[in-house]
Amino acid sequence: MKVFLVLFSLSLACFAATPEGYRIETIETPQNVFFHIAGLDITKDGSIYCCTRYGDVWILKKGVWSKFASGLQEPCGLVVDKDGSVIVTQKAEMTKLVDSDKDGQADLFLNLTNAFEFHNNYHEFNFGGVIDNDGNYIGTLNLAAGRNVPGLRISTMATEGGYRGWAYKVSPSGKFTPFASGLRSPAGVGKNNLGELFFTDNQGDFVPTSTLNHLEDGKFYGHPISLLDKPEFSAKKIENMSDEEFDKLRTLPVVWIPQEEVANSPGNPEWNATKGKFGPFDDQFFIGDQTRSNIFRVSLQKVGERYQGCVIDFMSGLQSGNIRLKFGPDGALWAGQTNRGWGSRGSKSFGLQKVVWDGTTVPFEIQDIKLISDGFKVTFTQALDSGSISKESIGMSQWWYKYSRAYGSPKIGLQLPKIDSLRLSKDGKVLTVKLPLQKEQVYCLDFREVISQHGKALQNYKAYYTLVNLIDE
Amino acid sequence: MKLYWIFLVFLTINLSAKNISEGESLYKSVCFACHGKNLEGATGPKLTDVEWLHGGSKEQIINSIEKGFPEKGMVAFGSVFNSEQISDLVDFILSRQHGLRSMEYKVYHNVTVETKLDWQNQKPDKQLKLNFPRVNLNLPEVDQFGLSFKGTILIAEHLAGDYTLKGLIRQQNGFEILIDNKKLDIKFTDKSRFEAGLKLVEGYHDFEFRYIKDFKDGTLLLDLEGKGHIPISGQSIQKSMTSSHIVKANESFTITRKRIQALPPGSIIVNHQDRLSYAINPKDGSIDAVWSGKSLDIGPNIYARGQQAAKTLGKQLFDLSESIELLIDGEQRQLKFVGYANKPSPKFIYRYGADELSIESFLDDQELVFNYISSSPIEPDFKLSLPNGLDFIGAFGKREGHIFTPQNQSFFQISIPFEEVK
Repeated sequence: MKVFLVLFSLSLACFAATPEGYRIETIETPQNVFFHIAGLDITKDGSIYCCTRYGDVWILKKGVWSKFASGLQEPCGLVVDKDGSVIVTQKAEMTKLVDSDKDGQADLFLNLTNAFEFHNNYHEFNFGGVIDNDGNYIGTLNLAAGRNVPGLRISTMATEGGYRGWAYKVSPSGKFTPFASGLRSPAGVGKNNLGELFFTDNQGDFVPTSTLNHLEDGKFYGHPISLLDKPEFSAKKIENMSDEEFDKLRTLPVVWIPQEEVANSPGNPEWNATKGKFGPFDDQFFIGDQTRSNIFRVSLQKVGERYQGCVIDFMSGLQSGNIRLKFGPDGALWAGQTNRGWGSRGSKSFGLQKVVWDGTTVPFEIQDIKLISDGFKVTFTQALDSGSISKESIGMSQWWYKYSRAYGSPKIGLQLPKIDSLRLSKDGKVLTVKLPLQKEQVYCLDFREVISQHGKALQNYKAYYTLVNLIDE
Repeated sequence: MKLYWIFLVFLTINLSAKNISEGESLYKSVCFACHGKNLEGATGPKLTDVEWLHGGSKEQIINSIEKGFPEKGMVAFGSVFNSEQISDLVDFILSRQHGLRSMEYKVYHNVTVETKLDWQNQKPDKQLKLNFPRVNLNLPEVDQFGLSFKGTILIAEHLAGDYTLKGLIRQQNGFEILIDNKKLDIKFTDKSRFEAGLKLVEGYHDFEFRYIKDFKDGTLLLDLEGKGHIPISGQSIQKSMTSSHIVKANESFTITRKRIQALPPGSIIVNHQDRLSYAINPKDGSIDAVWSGKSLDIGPNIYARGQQAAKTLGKQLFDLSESIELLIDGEQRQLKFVGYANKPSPKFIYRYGADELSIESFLDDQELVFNYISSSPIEPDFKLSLPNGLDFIGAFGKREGHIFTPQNQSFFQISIPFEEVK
């Protein structure tokens, strides 16, 4: 039937919201193979390592795919270690795959840790794909879900213990240390240029909208049932505690990622250390979204001993849900994709694409926003037409989110604050926006009416700054 | 489009009933084993929908059958059957075609249930044909939209009759479904489930789904149920694809980890030559089940979210209720699982204190053999407790009832005879 129905193989990519100078390339995956990518790494020689939810590890080297390993249990994280071994986080185990006879296929499947518990629940994912500065392998353990799921459950998600809802590390000698709790569905782990760890979490109970978080020792990030694994808590105690009591224990995220506007199911934060190879957005996180099939950016700012920052959308219209992003040595941003079980925008169920910058075109975008003591300093990639800037032409809104066991939160206390003053730098690229500021607010700056000196409008005109700490004078 | 329509109609009416029934009996004697009793697909692809890996014209299908795909396990049937037989077979396959056909979708930006939409006259912001026809509410890239899918549903003769359209959607307003340009009378049976009755005769029916997003969740299940089951939405199609997916080892072996019915979490399954499989526990080194014949159907576990467990196939020699337990100093112990090797044969490596023990397996004629090899500074006290009534041969040790005590702790062996299951 394919013959009468060889319909038009139109790619959605050509209709996408793509910043000028960037293009999407689609990489063919092996034929007749379920290629739902959930782990992705790229070595210095440009070899692409993918693990699939089906349970394989594949390598793309010089345009040729080869199967490195198979039979794994839905691995959702992959990183290539210094010695060439491949670390995968499969559901029941973190495993080191070694090709000891150098024939291109793993022959040793070494258990790095199975000290956490896996209870056969489909939602008990084990995410990973990161080695920290001390050589520890990092993983995050998803809570369980489902209609009749056993264990402690005070809202949607459940746990039978064994460090579900925790982040853990495994030392090179194999010591397992769970080190942070309160995670819900932490689908992506990453690190910045300093090697500090970050993770994303997906909106749901106790996660009012998706988040990017700085992952630190001893912190609790908000989902209370993970506390079951702390000796001072019990199921009964947790069941009797209120949302207000849990709220006092939690660490706020680096940024809130607005649901239905930027992302619904963020994947791993991938730091742009390409030194200009990927355009004018160095030293920011790029994060893919599994539902909306887009890619967005997060820039960090340390204020009062903690990170906060700014979320800006980057590109839409990829073919499937982007759960994994990785920069290659050539500066291209690769996206590993899957839609299985959770739908995603786009025409494909799975795949591999890469976003490539042409090396010359600087798109008109908001490059970054930084908090100052009495407002925001907004940097654009191109000079603005000063005639398009006025207090009325710039949209300002602010809100917060309600932390509770309900599934997600609407914007709480939505206001439209007034701008006090605006000042454009001499080169026309830096706009200082002054207004009265409040702590614990998301500020959305909307520049849809602003145009560049070349008469262009912004492709992505909104930026969301999560203000937790103010800058003291 | 028109051309393909005429071609199909022409093709359909030219299939003679006699050829079809000849073809059907050939199908039922040979092809069903791989392509399923109802052509729904098993180890071989489904044969009733729009996806044809090697072309779907009569000539192309004949060519595929004649030449086969030996690398995928389909022999060249051109040397087995004559051309008339193969032609009849293809007539039968073509007579069984059904389900969604050509489909086009249109997206209308910034439409809400309140603003409404003139479906006939409003110009869409985007209009595309789909390679694989299905209704998918997640296609648009904008946040607020109206969306229509227009296509045809093909009903094969043997499937014609009364149907119920069953659906699940998270909003009760803002959508409608038309069959042959007539709006279906949709009734909700609970908050999100709905139904509508209809009659579908043999041939093509126009189908249209109109939807204005009113709730963020784009979940849609849509299935026609009657003499056959025709999934309409992408999620329904994905859900219906739980056909079996059997792990094959061929002449070698496989090592597989999946969620498996009636086996502990984390179990590792070894399949030797599609003749014999066992489950080994990474926590304590016990062999929790042994079965002969086909290994595993992981189909239920690799579609949708993976809520369903994979199933063991074949004939069980014993199950989880009676494992081969490794006893150290008289008791089953929690061991440190070092990992496994897959060359030249499956080998599972454990540690208990300073003791290291590995368990290797292979097939020797009609016996499954486990080698237990220990490299320990001090000889530990290993014993094996085997299922009562399990026929086994122990080497390098002595057997008392279901307990096997090795003479030499650094190497011992048990062999389990089994009957082949075809």
